[in-house]
Parts: sequence; structure tokens; C-alpha cells
Amino acid sequence: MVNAKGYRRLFLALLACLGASLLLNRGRSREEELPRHVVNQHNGWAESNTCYDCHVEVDGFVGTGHGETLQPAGSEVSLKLLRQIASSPALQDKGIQIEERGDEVYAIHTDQQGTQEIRLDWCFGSGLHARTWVGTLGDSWGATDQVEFRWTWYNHLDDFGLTPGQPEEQMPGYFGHLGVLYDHPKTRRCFACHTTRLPIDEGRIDFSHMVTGIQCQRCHGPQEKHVQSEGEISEHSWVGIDHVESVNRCAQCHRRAEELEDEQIHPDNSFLARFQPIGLTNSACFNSEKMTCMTCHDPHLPLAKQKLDGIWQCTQCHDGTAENYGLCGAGQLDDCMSCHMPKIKDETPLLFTDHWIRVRSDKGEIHDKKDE
Amino acid sequence: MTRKMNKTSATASPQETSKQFTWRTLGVFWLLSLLLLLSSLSLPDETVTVLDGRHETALLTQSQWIVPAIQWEPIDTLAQLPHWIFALAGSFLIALLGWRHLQTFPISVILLAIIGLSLEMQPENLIQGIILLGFIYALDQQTLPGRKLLVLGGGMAISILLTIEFGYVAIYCLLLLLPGLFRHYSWKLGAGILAAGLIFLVAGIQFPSWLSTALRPISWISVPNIIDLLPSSASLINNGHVTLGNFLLVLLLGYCLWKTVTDQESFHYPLLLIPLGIACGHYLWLCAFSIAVGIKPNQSIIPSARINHLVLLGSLLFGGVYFSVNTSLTLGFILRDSSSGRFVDPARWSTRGRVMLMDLEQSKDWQTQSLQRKYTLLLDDRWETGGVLYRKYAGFRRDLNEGRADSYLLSDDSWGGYKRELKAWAPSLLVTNSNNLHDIRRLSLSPHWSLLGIDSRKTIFGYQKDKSNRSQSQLAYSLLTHLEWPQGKNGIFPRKHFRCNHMGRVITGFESTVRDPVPLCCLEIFTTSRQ
Repeated sequence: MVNAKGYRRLFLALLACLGASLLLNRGRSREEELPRHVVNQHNGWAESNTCYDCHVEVDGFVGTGHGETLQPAGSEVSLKLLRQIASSPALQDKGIQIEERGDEVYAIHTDQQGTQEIRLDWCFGSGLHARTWVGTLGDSWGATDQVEFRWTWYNHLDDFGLTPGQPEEQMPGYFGHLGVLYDHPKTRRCFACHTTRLPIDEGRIDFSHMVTGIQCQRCHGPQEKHVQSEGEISEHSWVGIDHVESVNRCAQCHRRAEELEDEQIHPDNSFLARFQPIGLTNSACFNSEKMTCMTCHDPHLPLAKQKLDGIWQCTQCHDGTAENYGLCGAGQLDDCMSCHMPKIKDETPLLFTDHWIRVRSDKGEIHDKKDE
Repeated sequence: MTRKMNKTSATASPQETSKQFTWRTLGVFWLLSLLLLLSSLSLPDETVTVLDGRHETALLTQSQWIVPAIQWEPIDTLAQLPHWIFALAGSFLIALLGWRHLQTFPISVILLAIIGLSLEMQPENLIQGIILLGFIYALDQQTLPGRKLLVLGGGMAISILLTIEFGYVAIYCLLLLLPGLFRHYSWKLGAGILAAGLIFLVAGIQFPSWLSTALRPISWISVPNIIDLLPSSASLINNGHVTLGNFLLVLLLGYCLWKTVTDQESFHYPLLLIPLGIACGHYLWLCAFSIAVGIKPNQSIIPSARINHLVLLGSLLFGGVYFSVNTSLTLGFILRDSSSGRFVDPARWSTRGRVMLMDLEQSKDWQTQSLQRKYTLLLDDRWETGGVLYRKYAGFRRDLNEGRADSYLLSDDSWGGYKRELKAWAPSLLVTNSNNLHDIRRLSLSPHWSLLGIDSRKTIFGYQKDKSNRSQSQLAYSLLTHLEWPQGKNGIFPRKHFRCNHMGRVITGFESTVRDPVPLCCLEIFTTSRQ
């Protein structure tokens, strides 16, 4: 027979075993969670507009391309452009029309074989170059996929054209006339570069809590503690990083060289002009270990206010004092960009400044004339 | 349960009757355990690894500790055995444990313990169990502390030679013996312990991998993301998939604890290992077996033949029902059916190179010599050496599962995205568990991977840029395309037999002239397996 002492001992032993197991278990559970993508973090976010309460120097950020890089398809700016489809010379024979149904916007294609439609949910792009629309839908697992609209509005054309990356011949299937269906990884990547906060749960994007545009916390990280402590706590992930890491931070959206195939990276590839960090990191200027994107750009200001015409960016280093930092061999003392960083157009109607800073082969005759 | 004395016949003595009962009971224990071991997912003629073999991983610069016995050719040939031999030996081992406690445990407890141990026993547990059982039996023969210490030394030496879990064996032996030895402390004992400690220290300095292997029972706590990569290491407390076997092993531990604490005056110190077994599922079997084999309850129970016969029959019935799902396989094996199916064998492919396992539990499947000649794992389940890379590996695995190829900034200011690791680590094959349909789907849509093979246990993808994967990729593509859209007439397609049952067979060929749903059903069956 088991007496009370025995039961007491048993109870204590069981309790000790359970406690030890829980302790061992707890000891390792803290290390289990992997770090998340900065935009996918759950916690630590401050309200977007609280930055301006103290940091008045970034008042102008609202008008930047970063700040306006994503908005709902039903926004005023977006609708104004979509309504131009009806009168667009480029889309006259494409059978595309836009229909507004309450708060929703639909793109509809009609031809002899029938009618297809997609709901347009988001408008990507600041409009400085172009704007592209996407519609979102769920896949069979609940993850968010997207249909990228086939037609993009280009700023310098002030008209629509084929969306960059989409094939000339439309894809087969229901969405073929309207765009291309992309699966969740592609969808996530698109939104991650156009949002500050992107909550995703098992592949499904929570649009209700998404923060559109590249706001302060996209680059500086969640700053809830900073706001709550009224600036006492200041965690800057940009402090102490080298120039390579600095460019890589921008390049996570503006593309890194390692994301392309090696054979794609050569000076004559006009496609690269769209991805500024790729050109920059291949430039001789970058080898100086001083150059970053911020050498010439202030991302807190709109491009128009950054005073990018001129040579002050170049003469920060090329001041003629050191042998390697000579001034222009062709005698151009008031314009570096036209020769060394011209605007390049690839197969799309987009024009981008080529950030591969070099003496270009197509500008060689200018130097030849100087030598003469 | 009311214990009754055996009723004797007119001619047999009580002792003879008891002896007959004991032998019959041992036979039933063995048969029950054998039925349960043969009901596992492994096929009878499939090779299983009982001895921890050679491990070489691509990502680790330091070498891992390899059991010294494997260096000896005869032992090396025994490192891998057909599953039926393992089942025979393992069932006998478990039956011996039950037989050992026939006089001290109720028969129902013994049977539940046998069921639990048989359901959860892994091939590598065989050697560990033999060592522990042999150690306990040897110890029972000794009374002098010095002799016990010698047995301890011998047991330790054998375990170091034969298994990587010698650290656990050491802790168990020390917990079992030292408290008793300290009661009879002498300077000889102290000197012996000091000498053993010095040897341990010197060996650890000389062979750092040996020391890290010795610390396996402890080091798992500090390895990050070990549960992601080795689900068996999860704690039973927060594991949502507790099996019947696990549950029975925990009951066994609870019973041992109860027996010791309530019956005995002195504490059975190996019970201190119970938290280890519960907190780390990898050690549960070893913990339950070692504690059960070492415990010596005070009260003896006289086995009662009449009532316990019913219980024994009932347990055999349970075992038979469990085994019934494998009857055709076992019969096929016995009758030497040549068309019995097999799992996908990458050793027969033209592929070679590094292998990334999404589930490191499958490391042992890649220890065969034929596979090791062609493939090297990126990392394996040896967390004591590979644990430093587990976090990075888990991140790489997550990026593969989520299709995140390009770089993205993480919350700790490091970089995610699998493209860089893909270049640096250069895996040729990627192996995922066939239960993981979500990952299979995502990898199927990836531009970097193409499906090479699928069976009920694993799905193998090949890196598309690896030229050695091309021929197998084409074969897999044509086979799966035909499965999805079967068409053809008699005599046009190869006349190979096509098997499909609940166990899931790899398709070696097809003999179908009529479009029927069997291939489509087979695809679905391939992605399910009995838990």
C-alpha cells in the first residue's frame, strides 16, 4: 500500500520533472524565431505621421517618389489616368475599357471570343517615370497572387504602353489580354518594395494594415520605441555601415548586381540603367570607398529639389587636386552628366539615368576632338 | 488487477508451470514487439542504419566524431542491416526488458511498455539498447564497488566505440552508480574517478569533436532552430503531434517514477533524466528504455497465468491488427516477390553533388555507401557540430520554401534571399518530406528547381543549372506528364508492372492501355503516408 508520504513524494517528483522539462524547453524557444523581413515585422511600428511632429526637415518627403510609389487604384491620381484609356491612341484597337463600380475599378477586355475582366486594386509607381496597376486575388492555398495590368502609363509619353517585362504576344488563358498572373513570391516582392509595412499571414497579404509608399520606417526601421521615449532611444541601423552596405540597402529594391546573371552585366546593356546600384557598383568612382547613393542624392527630398543638374556631386571628389581625381579631359567644366551619366532608353519607353559612371564608348569622339 | 497464484496441473509443479509461463510470455513479448516493428514504414528488405556511419558534410570545415568501430571492416558491413533483421533483434531486446520485469511489473504495464518502445524504436536505438541492457545485466552480477566501477568503465568504452550517444550512456551510468559508490567511498574510488575525469579531459582536448559529441544530451538546448530542422527534437509539451508510442513511453516513465518514489527508500537517480526525455523527443526512447531497464522495484508480483493469458492474447491481437496493413508486403518479402516496390534511389541516377535536406531527420537515409559515393549532405542531424550553421540553414530553407530568391533586409540587419547561398553552397539536389505539400508546391513553381523523383517519404528536386540533373529531370517530366494524361495502346509502352497501394510506391513503369483514375489516385497516395 502507498502511504501519504509516498504520494507526497510522487507529487513533488512529478512537479520537479515537469518544471525541469518546461525550463529546458523554454531555454531554447527564445532562439527559435528567425528574423523577418523588415516590412513583415509584426511589432514596433510607430504611426506613420508621427515622424513629422519632430523631424520638420522632412516635410517635403510626402512629395517624393518614394512617398507616392503605391496608392489604391481608386485614388484620384490613379483614376484620372485610367480614365484616359478610353481616349488613348495606343489602346484604340485593344478592346480595353475601364469601369468604375462603386469603390472598385475594373479593367475589361472585350473581343469576339468573349469578355474578361480583372479588378484593379493598386497603382504602382510615383508617376515620375510610369504607373502600373495590379489586381490581387487569392490562390487555392489562400496566398495572395496578382495580375499585373498589361498597360502602363508612361510620364514622358503621357500615354499608355506595354508594361515593362510583359511579352509582346499576350499570354494564353483568361488573363492574357489583361495582363500576366504572378504567383505569391513575385507578388510579395512587388509589394515589399512599394510599402513600408507589409503584414503577411501564411501568404495572405493583410491589405488593411499595409502602409503604402516608402515612408521613414521603411529605411530607418520600426521606431515605436523612439517615439514613445520621445527620442531618448535612438536605434539607427544605418550607423557604422560601410559604403557597400549603404548601397545594398537601396539596392534591395533598386536591384543588386548579384540578382542578375553575370552575362547580363556589361556596359552596353541598356537594361541596366533602370537598376542604378548595379551601374554604380561597377563604376570606378565606387572603388574610392567613399561613394554611396547619398553622395549625390538626398532621399528625404523630391528629385526636383535635389539640385541634380550641375557638377557639385562630381567635384566633391573630382576637384583637380589629386592625380586620380582630375577634371574633365574634354574640357567640359559645367556638365558631367551628359557624357558620363546620360539618360538611357531601353526597349521600354522608360528613360533612366545611367549610373554606370564611365567614359562611354558612344561619347569617345568628344575626347578625341579635345585631343585634336 | 487481482493477482492470483498459478493453478497447477496434477502433474506439473508450481515452479515448472511458472517457468513455462515465463517462456511463453517471453515468446509473446517478442512476437508482439516484432509485429509492431515490422509494421513501420520501412519495408522488410529495406536497409536501415543501425550504426552511426561516416558523416561528411559540405558546410562544416571541422570533422565530426565517427564511432571508431566503423573503421573496422567487419563492423562497417554490419552498419546497415535489412529491416527484418533489425526488427528481429530489436524485438528480442524489448522482450528481454519485459521479461526482466515479469516479477516486478504488472503484465499490463509491461505490454504497454513493449508497445510504446516498439512503436517508437529507431534503428540507431538498437546498439544503444543492447549496450544499456548488457551493462545492467553485468552490473547485477557484481557486488563490490571496484567491480562495479570496472563494469562502468567497460560499458563506457563499448559505448564510445559503437555509438555517438555515449554521452547519454555516461550520464546514465554515472547517475546509476555514483550515488551508491559514494556511500562506500574509498581513496581507490576517488583515484579512479579522478583518473577517468582526466582521461575525459585529455581526450576532449585532443579530439574536440569527441567532446562535442559527448555533450550531445546537453548541447541541443543551445542550438537555434533545431526544432525546425529536426522535428524529433521537439518537446512533448508543445508538440502538437504526440503519437501513441510517445504517449505510452511517457506513461512508462510516469510508472517508473511512481514505483520508485512510493516503494523505495532510496531515490533512483537515473529518473533525473525524465525531463531530458520529455523536453527533447530525440531522447525519449533512450530515456524510457534506460530507466525501465535499470529500475528495481522492491515488491515482486507473481504473474498470474489465467487472467494474464487474456491480456497477452489481447496484446497479440493489437499487434496483429497493427501489422495487418503490412501483411502483403511481408508476404511478398517472404515469398521473394521480385516486383515488390522500392523507394526512389538517387544512387541509380546520373546526378551527383551536394544535397540539401529540408528535414534533417532524413540524414540517415543518405548514409548508405552507394549514396555517399555520389552525394554529400550540406548539413546533417549532428547538431553538436553543425548546430552553429542551423540558423543560417533554417533561414535558407525558409527562403526556399517562400520563394524568396533575391536579397532582402532582415530585422537583425542581416540579409535574406536564397540566391547567394545557392551560389555559395551549390546544392544539386533538394530533398523535402513528401508530407509537406505546401513546400512541394512552392518549389515546383520555382524557376531554380525541377522535380526529379517522388515517393511516399521524400520528394527530390534538382537544381536546374546543374547539367547532371538534366537526364533525370527529363525522365521525371515525361513520366509525370504521362501519369497526368495517360494514353496509349497495348504493346506501345513498356510492360512494367505498376504498383500502387496505401504505402505508396514509386512508379517504375506503367502498364495501362485504358485511361483510368489509378495514376491520379497514385499521385495523391504518394503524398500521404501513415503517421
